[in-house]
Amino acid sequence: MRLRWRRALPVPDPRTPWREAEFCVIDLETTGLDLRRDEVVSYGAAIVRHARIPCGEVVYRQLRPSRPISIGAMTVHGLRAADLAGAARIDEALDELVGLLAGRVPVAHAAWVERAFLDRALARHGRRLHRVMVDTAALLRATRLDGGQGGREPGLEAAARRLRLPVHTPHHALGDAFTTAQLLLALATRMERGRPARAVTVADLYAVSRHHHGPTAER
Amino acid sequence: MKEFADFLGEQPPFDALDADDMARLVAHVEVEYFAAGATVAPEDQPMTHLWVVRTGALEVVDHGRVVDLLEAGDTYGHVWLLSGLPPPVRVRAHEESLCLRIPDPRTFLAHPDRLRYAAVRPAAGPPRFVAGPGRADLPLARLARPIVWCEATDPVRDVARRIGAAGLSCALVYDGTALGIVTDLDFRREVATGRVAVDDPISALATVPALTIDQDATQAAGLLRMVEHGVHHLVVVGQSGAPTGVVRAVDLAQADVRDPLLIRSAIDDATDVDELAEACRLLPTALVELCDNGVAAAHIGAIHAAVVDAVVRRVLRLRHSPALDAIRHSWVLLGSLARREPLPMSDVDTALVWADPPAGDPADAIRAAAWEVLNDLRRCGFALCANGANAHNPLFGRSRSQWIDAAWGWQRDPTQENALLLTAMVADSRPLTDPELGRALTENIRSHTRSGGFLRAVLDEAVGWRPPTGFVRDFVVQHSGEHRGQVDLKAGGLAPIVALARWIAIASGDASGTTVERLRRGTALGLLSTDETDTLAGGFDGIYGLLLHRQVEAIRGGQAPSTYVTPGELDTLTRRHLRETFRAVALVQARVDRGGLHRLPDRER
Repeated sequence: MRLRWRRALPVPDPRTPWREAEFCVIDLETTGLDLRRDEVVSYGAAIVRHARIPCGEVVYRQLRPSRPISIGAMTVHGLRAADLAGAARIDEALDELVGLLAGRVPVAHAAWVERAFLDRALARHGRRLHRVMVDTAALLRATRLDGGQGGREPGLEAAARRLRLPVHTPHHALGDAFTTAQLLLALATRMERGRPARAVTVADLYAVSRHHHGPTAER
Repeated sequence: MKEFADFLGEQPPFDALDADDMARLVAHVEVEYFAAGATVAPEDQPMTHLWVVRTGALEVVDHGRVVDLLEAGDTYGHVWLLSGLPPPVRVRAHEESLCLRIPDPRTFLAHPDRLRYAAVRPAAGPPRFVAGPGRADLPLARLARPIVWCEATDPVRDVARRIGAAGLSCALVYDGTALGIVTDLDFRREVATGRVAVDDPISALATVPALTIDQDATQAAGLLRMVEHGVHHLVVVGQSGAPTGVVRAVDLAQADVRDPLLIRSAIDDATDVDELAEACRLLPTALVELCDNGVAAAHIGAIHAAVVDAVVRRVLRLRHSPALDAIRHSWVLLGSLARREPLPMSDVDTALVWADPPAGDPADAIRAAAWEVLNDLRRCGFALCANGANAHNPLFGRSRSQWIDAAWGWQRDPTQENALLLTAMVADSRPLTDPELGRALTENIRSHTRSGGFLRAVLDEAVGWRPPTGFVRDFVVQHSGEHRGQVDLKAGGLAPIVALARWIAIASGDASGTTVERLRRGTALGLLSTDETDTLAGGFDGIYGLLLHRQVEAIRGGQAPSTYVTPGELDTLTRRHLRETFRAVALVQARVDRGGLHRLPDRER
């Protein structure tokens, strides 16, 4: 059944210089990679404010899915159904997710995955994400720091190491969200290099994210 | 945020925090990324946060000159944050760098005392830079005991009874003009021996004037005054100068802190050089105990100097020499003992001034007699100056007019051999006997016009002592020889500060005081800014304290103390703190070198 028109979550004015805007960097772990059927088992979020990541404001939540976790997904994130037996359903976490994302620029690494899962979850509240997200994988491609992997999405861990950034617990939603947030700081700072006259704005980050999206997102 | 917790947990000052405090710390961290060249912390603005380099490197820049490089794990700003002073340098990213920004951790930790800011051994009292008063630093007002007053005409017998009834050991006598004191010792020495009768008036027994001390003075200051004067009682006076109580040696904290007084008594009671040598053997132990009791390094130095003063005076009293008895003369201490800041193994440097003889030249006989005195000092375990600053050396033993002529010569032509070195040595002098005559050494500093060329030459000599700063992670160390891989804390740490303070002494015409006192005087005269003085004085206290504690540790372990340290043996924080101190001292040096002469009053440029 098709739902009614869904309201996009509010975002800052795209003309805002990135150093003045707030971002919510989010990462999900799921039961599998089927964008239509699989479900979120955990999410982690880091806020970027004044171009800084406050460690005191990070969020990590585990969720109890209604379908089994695929073996493939389990070997990546290590979460089993038994670990999540006491966790909340995603419906119960939607208010928190909306609170995290509303008024902030959404950011993820290979953002199309996060967009698909989040939009499906938010739909039950009659909400959706903003039309565009900032995608650190696209920023890597635009700055030619993707390691020349051609069609594949540049790996988060490898990219962080190439930029000499610390890697937080990989394949853990919060660890990856935090590493992604650092990537955002480093890449946006690098984008400022070429243009001392004008500040890099949120719109610039959106534009790069759209023009350098990964092959999988072209549908 | 395990990554940051693990990382910070390995770095001082955070490496001693417990898990709860570490969680609090990490929750306060903000992560910021800097492009190469971007400013991380501007100069001259008060700091509100610490910076820890996570990846990349930061440069410390002074007047456009890069003076240091901070790498992953290095913390910047704790000195400025703790002191509340704005940093005089700018910090910028040397390359793309990820940094952790942390607000003052003392404001949110449950156990801020576990922050390892200590530059000296953490066991000795509170950390130096978050320090409150040490155990030996209570004001005397809190230790003073009540006073037993008596009239000058009261019979000895009555006074003795009243002292006993009050459970005290002394009484004060006021005869209308001066304050006197009578102590147990007087009763034992004078009454018990029958020299004073029990019915005589107490004034026959009293010592006038009684030695007083301000009630706001600390315990350690009280102890120092007792050691200096060889007494066991002090009258504590209020602001008006009126006595408010009496403090006794036994009231001054722990029994072992009284040790220097026991030595002082033993020195005064020595009837020959052997007994004196016996007493002097207690000195190193006393220094160890003072250290253990948390007495501040500066006070230990002052007490040490007071004990040496007493020893030299005792030697002079024990050894009569016809040559010296025949002429008015003054023994003068030089060097660190003159400044009252010796290290446990400091040499005893001396000079001798004698009145201009009416006829003949007694110099040879006087110098021979001086050598006898110095020999006695050696027998007491003191090393004489290895560089020849000894009273029997013709360079350091002269008649009054010879001294004045020599000093004149050094000023007129600072390029002549050793002129600057001798000027420096003479500027650190403190007459021990006949001070009026002894001041001949420094009189010229006061009374003669100093030429700009001379002061410039003295300043060049002073800034020639370079702190070991450099680009390497640790220090510029000795590259060869016996001390390969070590830093000389005396030559590299203390000497640059001592030399600048000495320059101030010479420029201001006042040779008195410790290094820190001279620096403060420099601020009062406009030769140094308050920040510069605080930097230098803090650096001196820190390095002097570190050296003192290390030498005390060596004494305790039965090893020969040295002024060299191997950077790797210091804990990370002490090493970093030293490096920051060296850097700050080098900055002040550079500034004074550039503009120091312009800070002098016009007539002296």
